[in-house]
Amino acid sequence: MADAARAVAHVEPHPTSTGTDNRKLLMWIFLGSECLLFGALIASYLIFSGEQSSYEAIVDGVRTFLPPHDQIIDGVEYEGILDIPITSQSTFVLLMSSLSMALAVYGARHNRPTMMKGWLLATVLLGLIFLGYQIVEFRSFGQEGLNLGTNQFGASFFLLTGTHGTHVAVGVLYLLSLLATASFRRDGMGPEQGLIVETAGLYWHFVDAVWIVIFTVIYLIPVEVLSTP
Amino acid sequence: MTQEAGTQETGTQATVHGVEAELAHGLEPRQYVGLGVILTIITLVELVASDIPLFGIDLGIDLGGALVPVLIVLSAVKFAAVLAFFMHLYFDSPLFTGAFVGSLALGGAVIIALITLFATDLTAIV
Repeated sequence: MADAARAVAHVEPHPTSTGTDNRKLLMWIFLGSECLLFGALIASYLIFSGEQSSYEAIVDGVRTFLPPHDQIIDGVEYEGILDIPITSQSTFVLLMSSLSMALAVYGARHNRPTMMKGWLLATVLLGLIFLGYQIVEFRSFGQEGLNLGTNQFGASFFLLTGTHGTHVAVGVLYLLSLLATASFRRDGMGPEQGLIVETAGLYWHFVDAVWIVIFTVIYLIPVEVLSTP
Repeated sequence: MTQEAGTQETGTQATVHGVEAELAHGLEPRQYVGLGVILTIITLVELVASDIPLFGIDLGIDLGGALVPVLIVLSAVKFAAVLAFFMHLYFDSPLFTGAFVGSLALGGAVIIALITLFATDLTAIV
């Protein structure tokens, strides 16, 4: 009873024909559309992943191959460009950001502003760390000769991971706006803070879920590069 | 007066019950932490299965043809756990599940269709 008394302010929801909040439904529908976007990008990566020509590159005037994993192409062994141990760390960071976001949502729903703001801040910081990892990875690939326009692998890899990174960056800005609202407005996020933070949490968790798929498809699943006939 | 008091008590109980029901929507913090630990362990299992050295230790595991199905299943479990518990889909209206899972199925169909149409050799993925 004490918890209920301390609980989120009970605001009578605006009646809807579906019985659910329209803003939350909108976010779910938006995330559904994002599934189609990322599905197409993942498909474009997979389509060309087995072709030798996807990995051809001219580095320092020398024709070579830049495969994602260690490969033997035309009898020559090439070292994979992906650094999976490092990317595993960034995956862990993003996973922990999902945990901190869930705790922030819990704090918002149970009217604990300190808990909410603390875990929102943690989520933002972890998101920024993940973006830092991405930037370092992109720069190292660039130094090895792999860029957006280098070959098919470069195009599909940077487009897919870059789009995901952009979503993370937008998510960071989204959460920062919530933090600012909660910290500097007189009444914080108001009586609907639980719904507002939960809706933001849906977006953030989706970004993490997409990375789960991307990490598996690009970094973990090995691809056998077939020689061009 | 008695009727008013009775009405007030009923109204208060209804509000409390509604709030308690709303609070029951979702996990407790320690359960979220437990879920985070489980997801981390699954990620470590994926790395071990992929023969990626963990903390400098190479276990030399080779699953051969079973690697891809194992990775797909493990990532699907992680994906479903994030959806069901972090995103509260398990506790929420079936309308949200229908809206998202339907789009997810459509996205999967897009992947399969594009690969079937344009991939030159489907056996490239080991």
